[in-house]
Amino acid sequence: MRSWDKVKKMAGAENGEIADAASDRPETPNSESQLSGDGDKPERLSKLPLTRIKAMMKMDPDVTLASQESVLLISKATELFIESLAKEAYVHARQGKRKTLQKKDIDNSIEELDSFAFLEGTLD
Amino acid sequence: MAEKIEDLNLPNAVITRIIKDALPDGVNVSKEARAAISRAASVFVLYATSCANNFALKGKRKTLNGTDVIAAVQEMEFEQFMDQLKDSWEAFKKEQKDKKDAAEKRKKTKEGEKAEGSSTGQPSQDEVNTSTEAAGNTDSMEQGEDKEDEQEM
Repeated sequence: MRSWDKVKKMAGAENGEIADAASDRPETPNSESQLSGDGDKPERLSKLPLTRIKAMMKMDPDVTLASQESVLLISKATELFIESLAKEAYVHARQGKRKTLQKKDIDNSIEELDSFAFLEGTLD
Repeated sequence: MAEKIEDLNLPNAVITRIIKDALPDGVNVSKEARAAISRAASVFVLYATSCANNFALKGKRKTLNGTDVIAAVQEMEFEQFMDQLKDSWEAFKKEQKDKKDAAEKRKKTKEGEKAEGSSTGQPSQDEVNTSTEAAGNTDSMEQGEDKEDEQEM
């Protein structure tokens, strides 16, 4: 538990304004709905670990604080992004008559879609 | 604490799961492709955060909130994510409300026990405290111009 307090402090969240629920428990790879879960994750709102997402958000020096809901929404958007990138890459794999996604399929997807343009130069 | 993108990334198992669920059965993903997608996801988090933060700053707020993220996703041209994002947001708000109600219930029970039956209870105070601390900022003061956007949801 203490290590999570440290993460919070380093992230500058003394008031605990950043997703606090997740810090009540150590590593759980799901959303912050911990109250009802007996480890069964009945209402998992996010497949990605919110504490990790939060930590990544805090890497931006201009970000002061982030509400719980914003962390959740960034996480969900990222999940949708991954799906979207994978599906687009799959189109290219099929064009190459392959059933295995390869890096070049990702690269081609980035070149082709405007919305993926922000990724140019970042994956090499 | 980590300073580079390389030091902080998302768990491989989860990324793989998301990819596999998005694709038909029998489709595989090479290690390099998966690593690339993982890295892309990290970049996405940073970019979306930065974009959302700009909206927060525009609204003279220091706390990133849900509407900032929604606005950022729109600006990044990921309109197709909107419906699901809004659904998630609704589910999250409901969850927060349920948590709050459960916590109040517990509090009232405790107070009842302490006071040995004479429960005065000042629920409104607790409500205010809880909502300011726990539930993010749906009640925050920075509704302002953003309220119009919120109503679209």
